[in-house]
Amino acid sequence: MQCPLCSFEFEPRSGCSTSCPFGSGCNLVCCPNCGYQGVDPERSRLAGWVQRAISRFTGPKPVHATGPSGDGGRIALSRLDLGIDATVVDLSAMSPARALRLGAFGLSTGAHVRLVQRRPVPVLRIGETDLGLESAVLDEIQVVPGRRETDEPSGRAHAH
Amino acid sequence: MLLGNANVGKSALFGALSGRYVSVSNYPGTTVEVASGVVGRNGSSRALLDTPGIQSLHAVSPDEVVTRNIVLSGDPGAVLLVIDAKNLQRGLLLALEAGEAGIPIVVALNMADEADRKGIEIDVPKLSALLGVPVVRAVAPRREGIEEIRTRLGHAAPIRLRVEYPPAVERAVERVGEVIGGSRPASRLAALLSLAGDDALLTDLSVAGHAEIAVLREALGFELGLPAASVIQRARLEAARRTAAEVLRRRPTAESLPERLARLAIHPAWGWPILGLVLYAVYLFVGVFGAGTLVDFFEETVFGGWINPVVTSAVTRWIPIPLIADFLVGDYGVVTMALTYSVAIVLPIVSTFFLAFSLLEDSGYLPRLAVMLDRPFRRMGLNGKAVLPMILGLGCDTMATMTTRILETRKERIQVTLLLALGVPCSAQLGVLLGMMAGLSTAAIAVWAVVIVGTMVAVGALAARLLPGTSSDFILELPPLRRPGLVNITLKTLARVEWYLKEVIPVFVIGTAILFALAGTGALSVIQEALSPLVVGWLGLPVEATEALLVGFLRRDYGAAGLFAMARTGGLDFVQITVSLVVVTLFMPCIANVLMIVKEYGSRVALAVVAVVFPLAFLMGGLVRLFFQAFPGLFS
Repeated sequence: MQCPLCSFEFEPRSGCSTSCPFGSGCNLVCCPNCGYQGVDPERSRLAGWVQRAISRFTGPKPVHATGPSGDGGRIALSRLDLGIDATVVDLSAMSPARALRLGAFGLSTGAHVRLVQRRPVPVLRIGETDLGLESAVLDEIQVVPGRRETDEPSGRAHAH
Repeated sequence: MLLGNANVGKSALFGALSGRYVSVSNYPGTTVEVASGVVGRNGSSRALLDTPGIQSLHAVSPDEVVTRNIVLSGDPGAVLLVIDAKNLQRGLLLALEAGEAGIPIVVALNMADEADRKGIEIDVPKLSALLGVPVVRAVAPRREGIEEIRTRLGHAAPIRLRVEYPPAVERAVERVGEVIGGSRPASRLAALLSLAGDDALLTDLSVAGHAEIAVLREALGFELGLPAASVIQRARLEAARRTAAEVLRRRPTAESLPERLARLAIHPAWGWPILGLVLYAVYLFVGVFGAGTLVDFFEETVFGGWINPVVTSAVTRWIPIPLIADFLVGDYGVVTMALTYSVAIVLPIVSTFFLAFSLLEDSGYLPRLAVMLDRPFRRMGLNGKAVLPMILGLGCDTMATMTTRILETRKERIQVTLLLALGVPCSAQLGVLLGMMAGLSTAAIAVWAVVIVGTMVAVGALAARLLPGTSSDFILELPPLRRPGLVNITLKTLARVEWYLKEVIPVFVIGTAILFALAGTGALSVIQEALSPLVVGWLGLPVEATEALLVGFLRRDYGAAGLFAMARTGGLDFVQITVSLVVVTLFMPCIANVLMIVKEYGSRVALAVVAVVFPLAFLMGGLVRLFFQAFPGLFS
């Protein structure tokens, strides 16, 4: 964000001060250049709620398996319609630890998944496994609507 | 040893194979300690270990570390790898990982009946040929496949099917293997886990060379253009997928009633009325039937009408020493107080609760409860996964404290331990609390609920901010809803009742003996007088409530039972009942719980928890009394 006082551009995620015990829930951000304390609308629950309500009417619509899509048909899983099969194509936005955790449930690139519901928490079906997940994880999973088979050389099995 | 993903029926198979009952539930995390039994007969018996369920051998939580270390010890004996037949691909993922350890394996395709109903057919001989190990179809509760498993365990073999990783991974595995010691058992698996980022493994194996392995991992990631963990995982998943595709056929089936109910139980709209219905049914069964009908019968008819008069008469006639007679049947007598409280008041309540809880456990509803309550738990700085130990706390806080191991970070584990100790009533106490509530107005019950929930949320949120460390993601598997098995529910309820009788009655007797000694020496009056400013002045309770609070230090349900008895005889008005409810709900659960916290997290954490809980209980109780004083006509 840009500081309203000195126009310095900075990353607001770190909050005011990490040493403050209340820092994680605080909406205030301090400019590292001049120390001006401003508000980050993205951290405000109310602003976020209004923003989501507006984007429901004006923002991009969820993508259907046969519908329009962006980057080679690739979309974030959170934007996929419910009940539609999709193939995972990219997990690079995810931390290795989280990717490893989900990998144990069979979620990896090439896996076929389906979003079963969004609320109260998103439920994702991978094969016969139903997983309850937090919404932020869905944003990090890139999928292509439809079932696609991978043709990569790795991952074959052979008997010794 | 038994090895498998969480919730694939390992504990049920363990019971069927060994004849020994261990807790079986339809949610992950039932087994947090290794249970042992014996399998086989006619001189060919061998020890059998039931290990905690794991998602993979890359251990994240402490219960997964236990299992991983047994596998890496190189001598786990024959491994019975349990796979949910409905979820073959995922089971194969773990099988291929365990196969890297080179240990002898037999695969059990458990829950085969559920797979049949879902139209899933597995070519068992072909799977066995592909893996190179015996594969047995099993349905543990029906003992299907048990004899064959017993026979096949003698033919366990290392899995022949190997994942073909990119050459760069194989080269790195070789070099990491040299660092950790190539002659070490299961060194290939250890090398793969290290490359995938399991640093704690090296510490567990007492291997130096963290830095060298980190460099190799970085270089591998650079060469492949992806993190090493992703490449390894992806290769294994692809191998599992191809293998599953070769042996699995699927018939289309219609959505069954349990599947429909499972869907509705987490539905954003239908999920809440279902949750309300479930809680109301539990209240009717435990609070109304258990704490009302059964307690009335046992307290007034069985103990009041039969046992106490007969025993009192016998003691008075046959025991001429007043001190002993008084100790048995006096005001603080073992029979008239300890046994009456523990058997007549608490036992019927906990038995009904244990039965209701067993039904919920086996139905698979509890993980769905976690989904529904994820958002409210986030207000306490936790996620829905913490619901499971909290719900288990409604059975026993001490066991639930041990179950906090299923949570992934120490911060979350301590947070939940604190909240369990603070405000989650165990079954014994919950039943007594429900009984006390029966005489209160809805508004007064609402005050109690708001105070307890508010205190929990405030303490949880504060602990989330003040405790160092990180919180984990909410990732929770939802098992299918199942019709609970009558035998399992009966066994489970009886096992818990037995535990209650063994653990609780001696504590009640000891507590009564302490009260008897204090009353006999006159110390009770001194203590009552000393605590009078707190109990009478601050809480507004009668001075006799001091006895209940004193024994509440041993077990809070014992204290609650004393207050319940006072309330039933009209010794407390509605304000005092509400204040008592708040104080005793926020008390430490019991001495055993404190000792369990010491065992799991050390004496410093235990002391800190005690230092938070007791003062807060009295503080909130006093504040509730002040609130009622400020609005006298509002709640009567």
